[in-house]
Amino acid sequence: MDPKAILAIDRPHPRLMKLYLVRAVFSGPALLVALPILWFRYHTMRYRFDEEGISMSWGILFRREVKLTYARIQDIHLVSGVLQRWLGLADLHIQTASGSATAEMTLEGLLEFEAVRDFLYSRMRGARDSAKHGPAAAADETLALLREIVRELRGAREALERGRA
Amino acid sequence: MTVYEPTKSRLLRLLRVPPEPTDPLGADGSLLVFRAAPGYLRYRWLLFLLRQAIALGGAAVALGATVGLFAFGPPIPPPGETILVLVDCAVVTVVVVQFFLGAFTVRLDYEMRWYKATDRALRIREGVWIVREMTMTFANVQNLSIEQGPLQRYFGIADLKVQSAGGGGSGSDGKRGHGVDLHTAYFRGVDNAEQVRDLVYARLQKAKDAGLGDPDEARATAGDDFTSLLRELRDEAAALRRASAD
Repeated sequence: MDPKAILAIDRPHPRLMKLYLVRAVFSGPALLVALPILWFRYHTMRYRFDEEGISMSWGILFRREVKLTYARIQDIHLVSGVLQRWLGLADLHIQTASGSATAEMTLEGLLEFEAVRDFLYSRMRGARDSAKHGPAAAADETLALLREIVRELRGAREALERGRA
Repeated sequence: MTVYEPTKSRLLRLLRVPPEPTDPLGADGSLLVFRAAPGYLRYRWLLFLLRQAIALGGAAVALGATVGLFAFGPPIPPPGETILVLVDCAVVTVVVVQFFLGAFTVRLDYEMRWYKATDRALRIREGVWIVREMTMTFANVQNLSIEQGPLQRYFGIADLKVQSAGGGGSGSDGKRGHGVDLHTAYFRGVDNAEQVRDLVYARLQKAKDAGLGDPDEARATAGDDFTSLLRELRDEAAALRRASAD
């Protein structure tokens, strides 16, 4: 899938609300509490994918916004229960190196979860050959600069010695 | 096992279990796929039968108690008797159904497992009811260990545990973690754990900036070049000072 289509994602698919509905029904008497919470969660959920990272926000009374950069992603889990697979959905749990054993961000309600997973995966640390760009390239540049400084200094000394002679 | 294959495909379709996972990115020809060893299936069967024995024992106690009550106990008023019989029927049904479902799941769980590794990353897929697919790059792997219990040793298998950085907390808030530590990946039930470990380790070492930290730490890998250049720079600066002092 084209990365532009992924960068354009900003809302979960309406099927997520169906999933929430079924889950709320299964929660039994807690339905009365769970349903409004899930309803608001669905309706306030926003995603924003940009060049550097993803941000996700939800909540109406207690608002929450999570932002993380692609380069800090440690591991990606694609998890789906039977109910989700019937609806064609899956959860993407994204982990960074922070202290919790639970996911830092859970992308829910995406139909194109596999494409998003591959998109994130291709941008996380270590997925690409870092020898060709990034830190190694920066190190090469530093070496080149140092060599240039050495050349300049030598030139200055030689000029000075010639002037004396 | 003639009934097995058709039932399997029907169950897989019903549960919408996705097919084999796609390969993680990596250099061509570097892909290695590991599967759980046959010993793992035997190991899971043993655990399953032990659990079933306990369930069966519980059910037998419940049935025995009812029979004993009917035979030797005081007479029970009319609705009570029917309720007792119904409860016993329910217990028997649950025990039978979960036996077959469980037996199937053991076999399916064994078959629907893939451990894939390329030169950059590994991807682990497990589960039938809840399908879990995990992707981790070697640059993020912090440590590898092999775990083997006495039963696993008997069956000649071991678990290879791969951990990335981050809390190993129990996930006791359990909200999203399903009680699983998301920073840990397992190659469960492989019969060549040491070989796999060495292989993963070799690839881990190739990922130069492996482990936690900012990528620009890689500058240190320029090491020798860098130091010798600095030394040259110092000598040159010293010579310049001498020259200007003359």
